[in-house]
Amino acid sequence: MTEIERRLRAAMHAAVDGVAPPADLLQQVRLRRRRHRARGAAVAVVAAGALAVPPVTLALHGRGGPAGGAGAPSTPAPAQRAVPGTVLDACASQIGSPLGRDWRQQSIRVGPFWFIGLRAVNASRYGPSRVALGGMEVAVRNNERAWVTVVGAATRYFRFLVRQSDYTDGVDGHYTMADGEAGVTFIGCPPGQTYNEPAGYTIYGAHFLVVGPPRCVSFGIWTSLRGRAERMTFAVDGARCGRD
Amino acid sequence: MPFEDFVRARSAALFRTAMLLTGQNRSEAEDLLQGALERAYRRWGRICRSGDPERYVRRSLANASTDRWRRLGRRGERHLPADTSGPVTGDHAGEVADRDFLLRALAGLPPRQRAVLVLRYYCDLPEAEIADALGCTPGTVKSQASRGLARLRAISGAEPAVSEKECQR
Repeated sequence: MTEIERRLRAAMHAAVDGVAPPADLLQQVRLRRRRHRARGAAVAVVAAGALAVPPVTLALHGRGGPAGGAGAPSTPAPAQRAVPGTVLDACASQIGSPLGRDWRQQSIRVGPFWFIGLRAVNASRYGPSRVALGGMEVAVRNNERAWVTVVGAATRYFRFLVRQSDYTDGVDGHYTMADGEAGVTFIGCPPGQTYNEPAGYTIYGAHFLVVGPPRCVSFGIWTSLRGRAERMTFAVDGARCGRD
Repeated sequence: MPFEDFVRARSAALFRTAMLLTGQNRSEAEDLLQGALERAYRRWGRICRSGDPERYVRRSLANASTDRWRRLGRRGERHLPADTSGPVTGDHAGEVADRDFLLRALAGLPPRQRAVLVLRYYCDLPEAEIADALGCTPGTVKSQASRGLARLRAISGAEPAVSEKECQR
């Protein structure tokens, strides 16, 4: 063993030996499990609703809002419901994620959203799989209900992985397009129920899968307040993106 | 073994690993471990039958840590402050400073390099098991460890050990 290896080993042991996990760890794990189940149940409700309502094909190129767009709700939906064709990410599944000082420079802001780190987002392939996995964080303004759907050519190769929190499945190469979601409804928590950073926003984590080589991905973004779609395009793995 | 018994018996060791994987960020380590245990809880029967549930949880921890850092790609690699001087040596205070310096340097490594070094030098896992945990080849583990150590050595100004010098000749 070299000197640096010996010092590193000693440093690591000295740093954490005696460090104890939180006393309520088991309780927190169970709570997390319940949240996971609750989210799964919400998704099941949405899926059942989607059978009765045509899949969301929001009129992203028009100026019509959700009330006029095909598949969009004709009346304001209850606060904690996902828009048909999307899955729900609500307050219980927010993540407390410390952001670096320069997070804004590396993020994209559209409407009530910050897509954190999306200016240079990568996806990793595991083994021979054509499916690459990546991750993003989405900050949505508190008390806002807004939703994101993948649009354009990207509908053929991009999906959100909101329900699949078990990353190991992806690493094992088990994901397919059918495992993902075409859209996510994000609900910002009431003020006072979020972590402090960034102020006024609720952060959610969302994995995604992308099939094939480096890609450009477009999102359509709807908000409950603005009532019209905005569109954004970003590159995965440094792809060069024009208009799709 | 019931899941609860496993958590009581092994959570301390797993939490320490999580602490090192996250650069000693306690809240992130808690989040990381909770996530890994929740995933294990979901499929506990199968994991338990595999005979080595800790291996599954450690693998989940390691993968989630590198994923988490990729997701937070903006800080995939942190740099030590410019005014940081090298470690002091020669007495107990110097030893403590040296450890602190190394740990901060470790926290500044790219996530996969850090995970390799933690699994290798804290968990004492063989290369094959680290490769299995991180979903890569043993060769990648070896090269990542080598690069990580080289980086730490460069930052801390440590001299290579004699055996290493001989290998380079």
